[in-house]
Amino acid sequence: MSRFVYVTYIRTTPAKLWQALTEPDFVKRYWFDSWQECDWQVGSPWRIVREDGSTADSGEVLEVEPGKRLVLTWRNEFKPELTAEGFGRMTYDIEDQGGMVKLTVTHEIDVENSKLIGAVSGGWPHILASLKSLLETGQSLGEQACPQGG
Amino acid sequence: MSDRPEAIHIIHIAAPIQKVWDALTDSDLSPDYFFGNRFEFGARGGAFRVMQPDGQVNSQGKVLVRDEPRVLRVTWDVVIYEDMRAETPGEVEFRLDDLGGVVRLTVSEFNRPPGAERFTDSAREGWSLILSGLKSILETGKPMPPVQPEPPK
Repeated sequence: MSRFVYVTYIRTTPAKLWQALTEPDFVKRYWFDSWQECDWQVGSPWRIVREDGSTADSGEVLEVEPGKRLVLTWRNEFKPELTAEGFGRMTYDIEDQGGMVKLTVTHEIDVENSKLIGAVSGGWPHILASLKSLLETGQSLGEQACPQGG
Repeated sequence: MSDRPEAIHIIHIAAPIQKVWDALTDSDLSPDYFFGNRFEFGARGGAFRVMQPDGQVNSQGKVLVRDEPRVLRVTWDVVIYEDMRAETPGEVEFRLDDLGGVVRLTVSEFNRPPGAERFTDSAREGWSLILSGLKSILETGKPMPPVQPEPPK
C-alpha cells in the first residue's frame, strides 16, 4: 500500500469548498486548465479532462456526501507505467472548523512504492494551494503566476 | 545521519521570495500563523527557539544553515512536553524555491528517532495549520481564525 495525505486549511465554508471541488468551470481555474467531468452520483464514471480534451485520469464515484466527503477510484490514463498500476482511491474529507474549513486529501493504492502516488505527491500540493488562493483571494496560483494570461 | 527526510510539508505561496523569508524569520510576524508562538532564528551557528505566548520555551536548537532567502535549517528539540524530550532532537529545514510569481516552501523533518512515529499525525496537522496560515497572511494580509492544535497523544 502506498499513500499520500495532504491537509490544508481554507478560509471558506464547506458548501463553497464542495462547489469549488465539483464544478468544472471553477475547477478549471485552479487545476491549471484541467477539470473534472462527472455527475457526482455514486457509481458514475468521472474523468479529469485536459485543455485539449484528452483524459488525464479516470475512475468511478464510490461515495458522495456533499459538503463532507467524496471518494473516487482513480487511474492515471496518460503515462503507461502509471496506468499499469491500476485503480487507486482518492478521498476528499471536509471538516468545518468555524470560519475555516479543513480539507484532507488522501490518495492511496494497493501497490508498494507506487509511481502513481509518487507523481500525485508532487501535484496535489500545488493544486490545493491554487484552490486555497482562489477561494481566499479570488485568484488562483495559475492566474497569479501568469499575469500575461499564458 | 541520513539526509532523507522522514516527513515533508509543502505549500505554494503567491508572494515574492523575500517576503516569504521575512515572514518566516521575523519573530514579530510568526505569532499570527504559529498559534501565538514566536520563531527566533539566530545567525548561522547561533540559537533557535520557539517561544510560547506565556513566555515558556517550547522548542530549542541551533541554526545549522542560514542561506537567505533560500534555506534555513535548525536542530529542533521539543522541550515543552516532558515525555517528548528524549524523543525529538531532530532537524527541520525550510527551503524556498522561486517558481516565478509563486514560492514553493518545503519544510522537511530529518533524523526523527524511531519512537517518533506516534507524533507523525499531530506534526502533520500542526505544519498544515502553520503553513496554511502563513500563506493566508502573505496573500490576503489577514491571519486565519485562531486554532490551538491538539497536543500529541
